[in-house]
Amino acid sequence: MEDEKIIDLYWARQENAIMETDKKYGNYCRSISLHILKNQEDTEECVNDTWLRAWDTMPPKRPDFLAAFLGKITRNLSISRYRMTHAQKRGSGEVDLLLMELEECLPSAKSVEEEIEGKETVAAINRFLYQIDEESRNIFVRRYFYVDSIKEIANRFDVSESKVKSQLFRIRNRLKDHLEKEGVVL
Amino acid sequence: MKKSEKLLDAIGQIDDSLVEEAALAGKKEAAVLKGMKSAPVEHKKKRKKKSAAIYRWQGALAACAVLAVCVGIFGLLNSQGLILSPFDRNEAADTAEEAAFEEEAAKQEISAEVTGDVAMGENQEKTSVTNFSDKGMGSAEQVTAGEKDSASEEIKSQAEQEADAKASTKPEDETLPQQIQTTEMQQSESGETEVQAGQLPMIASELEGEPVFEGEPAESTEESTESEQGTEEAVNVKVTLTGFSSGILTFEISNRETSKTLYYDSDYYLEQKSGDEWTKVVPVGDGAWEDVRTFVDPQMSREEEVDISALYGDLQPGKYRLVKSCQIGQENQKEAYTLYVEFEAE
Repeated sequence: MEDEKIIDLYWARQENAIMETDKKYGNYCRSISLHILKNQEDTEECVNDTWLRAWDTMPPKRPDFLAAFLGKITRNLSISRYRMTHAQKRGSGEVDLLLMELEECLPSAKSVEEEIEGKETVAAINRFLYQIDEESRNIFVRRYFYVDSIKEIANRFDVSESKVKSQLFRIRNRLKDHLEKEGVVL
Repeated sequence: MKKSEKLLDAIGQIDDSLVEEAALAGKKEAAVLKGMKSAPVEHKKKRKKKSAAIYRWQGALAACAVLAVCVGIFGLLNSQGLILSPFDRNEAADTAEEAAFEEEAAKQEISAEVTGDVAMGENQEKTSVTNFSDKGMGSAEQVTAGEKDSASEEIKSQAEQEADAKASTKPEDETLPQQIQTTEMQQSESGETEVQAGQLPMIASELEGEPVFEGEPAESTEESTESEQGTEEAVNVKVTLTGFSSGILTFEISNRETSKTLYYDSDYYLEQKSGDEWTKVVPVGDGAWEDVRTFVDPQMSREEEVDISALYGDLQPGKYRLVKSCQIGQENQKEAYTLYVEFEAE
């Protein structure tokens, strides 16, 4: 089914929208989540949460790129879950865990300033990514958005692992310079 | 929230078009985006790959065919006698060598005989001279001596003739002992040379001085660098301990090479000093290394911060060292080294 039709299903509040989404983008989202969580059960839960979040956000949203939209939701949910399980594993991080649990109850943990700063950072990163060459950009996104391993990136782009590492190192340095120039403070 | 986490979150909000582009980028986008691509496309790709695998041995087969042709051509030429067989050549060489060896042996035999005769003659001459001076019987003794001289000369000339007969070269009675002497001198000289050669490394090492290490690798709490081959080399990499507190170790890695880049990954392990030996410390929990490579350009340095407590928990008091491998140079000509950072836990 085409993306437009799937989005229409969401807008029409038809439940088979989720089934169709899972059929088309299930593997894609699972792949993203599994890269981050390395756990099948957690991955499955994250993907289900993604469908739920998509259901909640469409409408009012009507994404131009459905795959990227769903991928983003999965990725961010997976990272949140990873942080939570990681805090749990540390043992001494019980307080961290509680804080993270409580954070979910708040409508927005971020202050207005933080949100604006966050948006500025995102905009600066976007500008940076559009500036650099296509291969570097894709390698960067594959690594830091999709959380692909160096080996996977090397296989995907048919280059050596060493080259990927070198390229990532240079991109990181360039991004650092770019953010400094734009006055982004993290 | 850490800076890196903030950045990670920000990257999670980048434009959808960038995410989409990266999803479709690369050769294996179809495999990754299984859900996004239709099944027949994937099947087609797989089939294409299979057919490509059949031709994977094409190069090897071509090489074998070329080799077979070469062997065939060689065999053909050999059968026609256009190529001299290596065995024939060896036989010819062996014959020539044998002839030369025999000739040499004959020469040595002759020279030995001549030398023996000359020595005998000289002794007799000396005896005769002594008799002449002591007893005053000059003429008679002189005659005897003269006869003996002539006899020795006769022997010499006979030997010369024999030598001429045995070998085509002329053995000269004066040059032969000289040759022998020269050989002895050469031998003695070569002997001296050997002794000198034995001392050379020592002298060279004295001239070169100690290997260039910053500080004392064994006892210093700061730094040491060793090659993986176990031999100490003058490596221009300096590791300086900056501090160790609350389980966090900070140190600086300086690359003093003028043209080579130093690079290392994030992995390391810890060793504890027990007596004179270093034993590996077992990590407390599970951990995974971030697949990040760090580069230090020539003449540059970089400060590293390692959270040891994350992997090893709280350390018992004692001496420890962090062991980390690094590489210097280009991809094809890299040299691997091990860096050690010694520190004390209290």
